[in-house]
Amino acid sequence: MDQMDPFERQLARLMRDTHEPVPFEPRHRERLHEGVRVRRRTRMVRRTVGCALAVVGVGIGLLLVPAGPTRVQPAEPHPRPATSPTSTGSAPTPGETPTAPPTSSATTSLANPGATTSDTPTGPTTTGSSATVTATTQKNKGVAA
Amino acid sequence: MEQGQAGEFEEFVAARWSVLLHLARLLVGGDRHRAEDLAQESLVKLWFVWPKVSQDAPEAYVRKVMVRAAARAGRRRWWGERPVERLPEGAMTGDVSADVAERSRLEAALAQLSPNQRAAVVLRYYQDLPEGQVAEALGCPVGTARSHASRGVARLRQILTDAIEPTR
Repeated sequence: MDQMDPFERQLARLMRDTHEPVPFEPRHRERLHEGVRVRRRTRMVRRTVGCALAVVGVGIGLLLVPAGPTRVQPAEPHPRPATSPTSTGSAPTPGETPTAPPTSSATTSLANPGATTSDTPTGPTTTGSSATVTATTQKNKGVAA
Repeated sequence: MEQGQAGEFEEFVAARWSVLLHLARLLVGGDRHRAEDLAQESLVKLWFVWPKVSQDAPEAYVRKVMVRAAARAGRRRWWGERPVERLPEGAMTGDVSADVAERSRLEAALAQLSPNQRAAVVLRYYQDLPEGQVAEALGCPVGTARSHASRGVARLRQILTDAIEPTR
């Protein structure tokens, strides 16, 4: 403000000189208090409406959720990892049964191409899928050889 | 708000009312009723934050609220202000004092500025604020505030040159 030119100085003086003292009258005080009351009411209404909307939103959300509790149950046992005593090189555990159902043998062979046919106890005469099993196992043999 | 704080608020308002009202009047370009509305609304907002700002700078808070509210209202132009080619003659003839005539001319000239220019000029030359505080009150960068002020002064210079020539 030090580099003010004469016009700017006169402008500043004019702005200050035109200030006329105005007392803070009771009507001003009343109006101010009324304004505070109105604003307080407005804020309260706004807050109440906000809470109500939140409750309604939560209620709608709960309604849209299925009524019964959701249970997660496995439809069938998970396929066990196809491991064999020879492929892993470890001795069979006492709890394991050496035989497996014929249906699972195909899965087992497909899931683990590295398994040898000597480990699968089921014979090739069971189902139509056994041809695939045999082909796969023979191929695996060729690879192993 | 507690009773003691309410008392402090009342004291502050009573002490600063006149200055705040004059500031509001300059910010709105002279309309006394709009200035009173602006001052009242800003003080109502101050009431709700008084416990937080009373120890720091309550007047700076009111000033910022006032400037931004005036700028918003100016952008809306709800009171139908329109720039004119020539200043209206007004009713300052005869027995009206020179002070009133001078004030009226100043307010009429301020009314022709954009809201931001008016606020920048008023804060700079009436409130004597540094550019940084003007920018903070306007909510814009310092360069923008400086630009508003310089353009506003240039426009006022053009309008008021005759009016504030020193009388001999």
